[in-house]
Parts: sequence; structure tokens; C-alpha cells
Amino acid sequence: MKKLKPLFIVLLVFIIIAGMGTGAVVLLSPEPPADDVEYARLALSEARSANAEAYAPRTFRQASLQYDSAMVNWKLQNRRFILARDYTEVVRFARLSSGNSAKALSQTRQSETSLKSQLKKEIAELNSIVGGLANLYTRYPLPQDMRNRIARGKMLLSEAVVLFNKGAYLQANRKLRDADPLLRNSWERANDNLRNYFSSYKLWVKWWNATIAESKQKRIAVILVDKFAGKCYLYQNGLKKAEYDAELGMHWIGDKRQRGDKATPEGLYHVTRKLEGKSTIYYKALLINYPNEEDKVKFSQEVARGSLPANARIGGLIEIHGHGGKGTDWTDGCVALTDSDMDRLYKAVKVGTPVTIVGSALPLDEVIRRRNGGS
Amino acid sequence: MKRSLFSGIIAVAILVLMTGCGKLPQTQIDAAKAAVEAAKTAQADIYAPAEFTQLQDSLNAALAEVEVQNSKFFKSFGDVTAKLEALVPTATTVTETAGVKKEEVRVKTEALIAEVNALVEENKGLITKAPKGKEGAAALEEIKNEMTVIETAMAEAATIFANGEFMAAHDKVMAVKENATNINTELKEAIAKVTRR
Repeated sequence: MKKLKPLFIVLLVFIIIAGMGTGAVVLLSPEPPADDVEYARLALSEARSANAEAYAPRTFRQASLQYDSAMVNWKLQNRRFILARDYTEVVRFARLSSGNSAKALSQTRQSETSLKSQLKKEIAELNSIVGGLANLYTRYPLPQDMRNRIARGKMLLSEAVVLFNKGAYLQANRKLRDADPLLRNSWERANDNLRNYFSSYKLWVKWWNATIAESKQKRIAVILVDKFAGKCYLYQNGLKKAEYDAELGMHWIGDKRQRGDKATPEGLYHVTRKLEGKSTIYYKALLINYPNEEDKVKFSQEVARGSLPANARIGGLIEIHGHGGKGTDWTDGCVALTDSDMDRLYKAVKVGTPVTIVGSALPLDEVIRRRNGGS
Repeated sequence: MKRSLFSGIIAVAILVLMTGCGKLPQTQIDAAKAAVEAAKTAQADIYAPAEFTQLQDSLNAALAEVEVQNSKFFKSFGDVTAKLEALVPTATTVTETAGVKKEEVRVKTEALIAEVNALVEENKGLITKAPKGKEGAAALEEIKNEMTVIETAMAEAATIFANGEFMAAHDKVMAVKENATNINTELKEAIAKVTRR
């Protein structure tokens, strides 16, 4: 017992020293950066939930990397002797991560809101373009490649709308970026083409009014063709007597320039022959004096200028004839009416009756207004 | 003899005090990480995004908790081990949820593709019956253009579907359906007008 006493004292002393040592270590060891890392984790999680990865990818990636760096540093420090640990870098990375997460979240909220309103506006704009294209250009001989681009653009626009409606704004935006040039460029090119075509409007109106005035003055029948409206009118004594649906050359936009261009000429003409029975394959026909002197001069000038090849030939045999009603512009340059309309027109006119063909009897603004639903 | 016994006890006591009393739950950490990774492989981030984000966050929280314990002189991994162990069944549930949702979208998309294909075929039939009156033929030409684009889009959707991207395929077919339905309505209205006359 006596021998045990000193040992007990030694043990007690040791325990006291060890306890004090442990206490000192615990007290002197640096505080783990639990709060900073926890805050960074929550901030990162909130940013991730808000889809910051997609809306603010750079900032979010930085925040994520900084969080990982904080964790790696923490792990490294924890491998060191407890009193030798230094969590300064861990705290620094965690705080940087929190800051960037908050920034990413704010950027996300801003981007999402502004993207949503921007997409809404763009979808409305593109829908209006699609509407405009349908109203103005269904009959217009747009190039096939442009028609294909419009159809592709419409499909992409529909995809964008589906994605927009389910809140997938970034994906919707990507679809819209693809749809936009297809539709907008087509719209602009078509409009440029149309404006360019209507640059002759003043001349057309002059011809139109002069022909009606002639009808009134000479108390005769005249035929007027409005290509853009796809209409053929019969005037008698200056007053409109009848109106017929007309089908034109496949490439009816623009004046006829040469044989085989499938364009319907524009100008002041008259009926040179009335054909029926076996003299025509189109039921009944009114042959007009195309090319007139002015057409011949224009043709020669184009050949001389080189805008038409030297071997180009001027067209001819332009008629107003039957077999129309196909619903499309299909002739080689003639004006086709239904056989029943042709009967009525044929009866009302004679050789020498003036025939005036214009691009449009209405100014472009008025055409657009009417096509968009104005009366 | 007794002296050496005491020395041993003291040495053990010192060791215990110095190392703390917890053991790093490495097995549980690896299992939890693998379970979360498996959920991602099952496209839980696409088909169960909210649940997956929550799962990822729980893993991050547990890993941070591991380091909190590692920072302490007296380590206790009991709680965090339990959390890590609980993460595995949670991840399995998320994986299963994603699988179920993915299958739902697959079935839905498959049905949608069949529906739109039928609509496309119907439209092809309607085109032959559609009137070619004033502007009719020109409009039909435009419709034919759009139908070509629709068929191309359906082929693309089929490829996306075959690649297992059911959600993307679904979105694409929905857009195609809208266009095909518009054409169907337009054609039916045009045919009905002629029939009424």
C-alpha cells in the first residue's frame, strides 16, 4: 500500500498536467471556420437552386471553385498538428465563395427577369413578322430558298414559344437566336424587294388614271389589270363595270424583260386579236400588242447595257385568256381568268380596246394596311 | 511490474487524449459520394432537379461537418456518420424518382410522336383534297414547304429521342404538334368552305 502511494501521486500529477495540457491545447487551438463554410455552402446552394449555373455561369463557377478550395484547405489544415493549424485561407475562400454566390444569385435574378421580358418582346415581334409574311407574301413569288428559311424560322419560333412557356428561358433564347435571322432577314429582304418594286408606283397611277380618263372621254370599254391585287377590271365610260380574279406569270413581280422569264408585262397596250375555238388552247383569248414600242426600246437598251445577254430575245404572244381559277400564278406571262369570266370580258371588248397592266393601283402603304385587316 | 502497467495506462491515456475518440467515417463518405454520383448518372439533375440539388447540398453539409469534427481535439463522428449513412437511401430514392419521371416523359413523348406522325399523315391526305381556288394553290405550296420542315423536325426529334434525351425530344415534338395542328385546322377549314358551297 505504501508502495502504491507514490505511484498514485505520480499518476494524479500526470493526469493534472495532462488535463491542463489538453485544456491549454483546446483553448489555444484555432476556432474551426465552421460558420463561414456553412454560410458559403448555403449561399452556393441557394444560387444553384436559382439556376445560377446557367444564368451566371462564370460567377457561379468561381463561387463553386472557391468553396471547393475552402474545403480542400480546411482538410489540409486539419492534417496538421492542432496548434499549428491556420484557417485564414479557409475563411478567405469561404467568404469569397459566399460573395460570389450572392453575386451569381443577384445576376441570375436580374438576367432571368430581363431575359423573360426580352424574349416576350422578341416572340411578339417575330410573330408579327410571321403574320406580315402570311398577309403580304403568300402569293408573292418569293424565292424558294426564302420560303424554306421562313418555314424553318416558324418552326424554331414555335420551339422557342414551347420552351418559354415552361420557363426554360435560356433554351428558348437559343431557339429564338436561330429563328430571328431566318425570319427577320427574310422579312427585310422581301420588304426591300417589294419597296423596290413599288418605286414605279407613280408611273402606274399615271397609266391607270389616263386609261380610265380615256374610257370616260371616248365612252369606251377598257381593261385594267392590277398585278399585286391579282385583279382584272372592266371599265365602261370611266366607270367600273366588272372585277375578275386574275392569275399571272409565275414570276409576276417586275416588268417582263425577255422571252421565257415568266413575267407579266406592265404598260399601256390594246387588244390586237380576239381568239376563240380552235385559234386558242385557252378557251378564249385577247391577244395584246406586247411588246409595244416602249418595251422594244427598253429591251434593246438592256441588251446594249449588258444587263440582258446578247442572245436574249424579247417575249411576245401575251394574252388575257381562259383556263384560270387554278389558285396560283401559273402562266408564262399572260393574264388568266376563269372561263366564265372570260366569256363576260370577251363579249364586252373588241379589237383596239385599251389594256393597261400595272404593278399595283394602290400605294404600298395602302396595300399593307388592307392586307393587315384595314378596310 | 505494477510500474510498467501504470506507464502503459498513462501512455494509452495520452494517446487517446491526443488523437481524440473518433474515427473518420471514410467508408460512409465514399458510399454517400457514390450514391450522389449514381443519381447524377441517372439524370436526376434533369428529371428531379430540386431533389438532386437538395441531395447535393446534404452531401456538402455532411462533408463540412466531417471537417468540423476533424478540426476538434475531441472528435465525434457519430452524428455525421449517421447523416452520411442516411444519404445513401435518400440518393437511391432520388435516383428512382428520376428514373420514374424519365420513364413517364419517355412514354409521354413516344405517344406524342405517334400522335404528331398521325397528324402529319392526315395533313398529307387533306392536302390532296384542299381547294385550289383563289390563292389556294399558292397557300398550298406554302403549306407543303412547312410540312417538309415539320417532317425534318420530326426526324430530328426521333434522333434526340433515340439518344435518350426524352425531355428535349418532348419539347421539340410539342412545337411540331402546334404547327401541324395549325396546318390541319387551316386545311379542314378550307375544305369545309368548299363543301358548304
